[in-house]
Amino acid sequence: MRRGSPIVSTQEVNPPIVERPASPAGLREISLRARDRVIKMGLVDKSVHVGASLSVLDILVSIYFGRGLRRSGDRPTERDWLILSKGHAVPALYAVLAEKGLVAEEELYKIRAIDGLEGHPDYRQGGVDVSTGSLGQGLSIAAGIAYAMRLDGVEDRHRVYVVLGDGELDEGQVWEAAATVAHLGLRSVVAIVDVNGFQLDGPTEEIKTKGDIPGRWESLGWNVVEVDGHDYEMLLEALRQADVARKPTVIVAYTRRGRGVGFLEATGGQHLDPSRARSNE
Amino acid sequence: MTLAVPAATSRWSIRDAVGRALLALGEADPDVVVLTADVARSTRTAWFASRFPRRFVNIGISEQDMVDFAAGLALAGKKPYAAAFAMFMMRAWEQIRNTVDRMNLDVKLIATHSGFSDHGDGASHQSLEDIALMRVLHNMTVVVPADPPQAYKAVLAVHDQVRGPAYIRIGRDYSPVVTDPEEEYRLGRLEQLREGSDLAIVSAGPVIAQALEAAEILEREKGLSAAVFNLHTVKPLDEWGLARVAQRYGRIVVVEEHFPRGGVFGAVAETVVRLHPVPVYPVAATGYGHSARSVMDLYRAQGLDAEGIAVRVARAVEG
Repeated sequence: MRRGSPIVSTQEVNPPIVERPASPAGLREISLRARDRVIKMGLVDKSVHVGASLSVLDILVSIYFGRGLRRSGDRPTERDWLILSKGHAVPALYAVLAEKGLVAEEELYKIRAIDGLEGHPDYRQGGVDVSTGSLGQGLSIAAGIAYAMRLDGVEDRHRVYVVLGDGELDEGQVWEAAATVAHLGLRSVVAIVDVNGFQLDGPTEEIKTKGDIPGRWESLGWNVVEVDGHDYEMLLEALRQADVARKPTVIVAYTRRGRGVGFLEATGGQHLDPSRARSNE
Repeated sequence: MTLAVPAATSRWSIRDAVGRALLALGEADPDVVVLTADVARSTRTAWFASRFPRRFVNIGISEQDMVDFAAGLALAGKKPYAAAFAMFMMRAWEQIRNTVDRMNLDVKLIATHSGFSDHGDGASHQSLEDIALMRVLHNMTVVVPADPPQAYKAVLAVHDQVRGPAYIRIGRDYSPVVTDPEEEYRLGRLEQLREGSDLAIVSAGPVIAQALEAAEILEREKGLSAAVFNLHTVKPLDEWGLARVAQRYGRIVVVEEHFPRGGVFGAVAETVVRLHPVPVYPVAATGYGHSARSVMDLYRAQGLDAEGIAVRVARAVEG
């Protein structure tokens, strides 16, 4: 974790990543290791949002290892960006960054400790592009980055990925930003909505109506792609489409909260209760 | 970057001066991008828009989106200026706190129509809490220029000297010239506008013109000689400058177009109590405003016109 002086150039903390993209089979292997890390993080700190991390995990793996985040120059606009707007799922991001070697394995299990990893994304951590944690803000930030890419003439070279939750769609600002991105035709923005059907207090539809999620985006002028958020072939194809789309793309990814942990998946649970976890081993 | 200050600044309104300053910045720095929230004409950012259409985005009536869009621009290496009415900038406080200030991003907020300056629109448009909300932020610089020449110079100075977020609070039209247009602007430095010997008045923003007139009335009618200081930079505060004022005058009255909690009075009191405790009295807004045909009608209703200030200052220091 970097300390002290602010105004960090994100290049400093985000070294260029140049790798051959992994195949779907390779991605599944990576995701198994990453899931293991997320569950261990959930066991060392009970407040970690395991359910939401496991639903979004395959999405992050497909962006980081399937499509890859690329850099083409030194300017901050000459690279792909990833904003985890649903910041509570940061264990999934850390698990992926550990696979990249950007977070040391032993650091993972100090999550939420006073000398360890922050409980929500913090840009002073290498590999984390933008600090989030307060829901609803990522898409607006992505729009600003995308506009800077346009000014620098690189908007067709790079993408700004912003990962939202379905509960997060309650935030009005998401729709302010969705309209801004569509209005400006910021095609470098790729929003991915992790539709796991749950938010903190219960099933999303019980808390607040979400309406026709793909339809809401489509009506504003977005290119909408619906996928199974745990199917790598579908995720990679959607990311490929977003790379060549002439308008902003939203990938509506239907997922399971707690994917990979039986009792969490069944109940839409969020946190791991250690005794319960042991009995499920 | 040194940009000449046009001689005409004295004839402009304070928002005109800031609109012109943004134009000058646009010419001088290709990284400057200006945003607004459907108030391009009112904030005078329309001038920047017509000169630099690519570097201008009207975000629509969505201040929260505008602030985070600015944050994205700053993350990507641009120097964004986001302009809106001070009242509605407050709507984006959490975005300013959690995204802009927490990452210490180079986002400049131009807050127009502050205090009672938007007299006609009434209480819903008059900001009386914004200085308090902005100065509690950890990284934020808060500048409240007194008049058009100072506003013009302050925008340029902030652009040059502040790497991180800044809040520039200006009014709408009312803004008599009280500073020397020829003088160099010194960000962060308490500025004396009137000599005096019995007490000090510290003020910020265009209402300072009324405070200066009040000092004349006090001298004439009460035999009280008041020095007047312009605290144009509320954060970071000129702490030792203020401590010297406390030491020399022994009592301070703060005059501001803001509620008497957390704003300039709060900033002065917090500093004085720590470095050189003396009595500090607020002469501030007494309640929410109202629509009025002129800002002077509102000042009179709020006891912030010269006569009202003189009465309140005399009452404060004479007990």
